Amino acid sequence: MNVKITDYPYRYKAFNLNVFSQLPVAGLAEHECEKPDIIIREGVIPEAITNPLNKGVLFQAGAEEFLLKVDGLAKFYVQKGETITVEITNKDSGDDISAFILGTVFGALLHQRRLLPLHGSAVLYQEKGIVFSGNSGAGKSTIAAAFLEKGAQLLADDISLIGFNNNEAQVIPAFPGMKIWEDSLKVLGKKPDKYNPIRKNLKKYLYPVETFHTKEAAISHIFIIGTHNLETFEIAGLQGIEKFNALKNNTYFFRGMNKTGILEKHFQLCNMLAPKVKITRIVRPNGGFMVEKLAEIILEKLAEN
Amino acid sequence: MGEKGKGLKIAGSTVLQRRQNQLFSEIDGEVVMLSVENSEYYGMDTVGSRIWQLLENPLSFKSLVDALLEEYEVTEEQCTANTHTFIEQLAEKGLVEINSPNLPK
Repeated sequence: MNVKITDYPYRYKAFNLNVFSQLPVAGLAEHECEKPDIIIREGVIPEAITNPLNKGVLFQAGAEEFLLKVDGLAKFYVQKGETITVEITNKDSGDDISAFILGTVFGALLHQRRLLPLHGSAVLYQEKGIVFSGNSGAGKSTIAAAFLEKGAQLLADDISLIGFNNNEAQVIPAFPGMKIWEDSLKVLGKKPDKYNPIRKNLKKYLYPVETFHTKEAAISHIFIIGTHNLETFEIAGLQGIEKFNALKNNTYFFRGMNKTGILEKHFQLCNMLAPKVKITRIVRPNGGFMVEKLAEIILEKLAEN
Repeated sequence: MGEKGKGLKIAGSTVLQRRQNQLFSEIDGEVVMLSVENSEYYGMDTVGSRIWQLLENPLSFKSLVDALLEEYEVTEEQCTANTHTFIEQLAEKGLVEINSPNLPK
C-alpha cells in the first residue's frame, strides 16, 4: 500500500498486521513498522454503500465495502480489508471509537481479507492454544482471565483469529488487552473501581494484561461456552458436522458478512480447522458464574490427551 | 414430502448425479457442503453422507438403494422410501441432478 507515512503518526500491530493510524487507538500495542498492512484515517464517509449484500440496523456490508454508523459517535468505513476511514461526530469520545474499531470494524476487515475470526477469547496455557467461544455473556473473557491467573498468556480477547502455517492451525495474537464486565470482575474477585471503563456509562472495563503472547500459537482446543436454566454443567465433545456448525456459528460477525462473498473461503478454512482441533461444548448454569468450577472442567478436558 | 419435490419423477432407472456447483468436505465421516448457488451450508448425517459418497459417479436410483441395502439393516421398502425422500431434498436444493431416461427433458 502506498501512503505518505508522515500522515500516520500512530503505528501498531494487531492480528499480526501492521497498522498505520491517524488516530490513537486505545488498546493496541505500539509497534514500529515501515510498511502498513492496514491504514486508519479520518475522512468523510458515504451515507450508503453501492451494493449492500448484508444489512443491519447500524451497518451495511458489500463485496469490498463495509459501513458502520453509530449515532452520536462516529461512522466507520472499511474497504478491501485495507483501509478504515473514521468520520468522527463526537470529538470527545476517543476510547469509544477505539472500542468500535477493535470490535465490529476489525471483524469486518478480517472477513474482507478472507480470514477466519472466531468469536472468542484465546490463551496459551501449557503450550496449548485454547479458544473460549460462545455467545455474548457466556463468559469468554472471564474464563480467559481466570486462566491468566493460572499462568496462561493472553492471545486474544473477543476476536480470535485463526491462521494456518503449513499444516498447523494457529491462533494469531490479537492485541494485549481485555474488556471485562463489572460482574465478571466481581466473579474474579477484583474491585471494579480499580479499572477504567471502555466507554462512558458502560460497566465494561479495560483489564490490563501483563502476559501477552506475541507469537502465533498452535490451537489445540476450542470450548464453546453456553448457559442454561439448570444447576448442572453439561459437557459434550463435538464430532463431524457438529464441529463444522460450531465453527460456523461462532465465527465473529458471520451474520453481518455471510452474503458478501466470504463463504467459499470460510467453508474451506472451517474444514481445515475442524480436524485439527478438539471442540467441546460446555453449558453452565446461568445463575452465579462458578468460574472455578468451569476452569476445573476445562482443565480435565485438557488433561485427557 | 416437500411441495417442490412432488414434481420430481424418480424411478429405479433414474440416473442420479452430483451437480458441480458445490464444495464439500468430510469431518469424521460426515459430509458438510457449501452450495455456491444458494450460498448455504448443508450438513449430512451418516447415512446421508454415505449416499453422497456413493454418488461420486452417476448411479441409478435402484443401484443406490441396492448398495445401501447391503450396508444397512433395513427393509427394502423402508430404504427405498427414505432414500427417495433424501434424494428429493438434494434435488430441491440443486445439489443433485435427476435424469430419467424415460421422460422428455
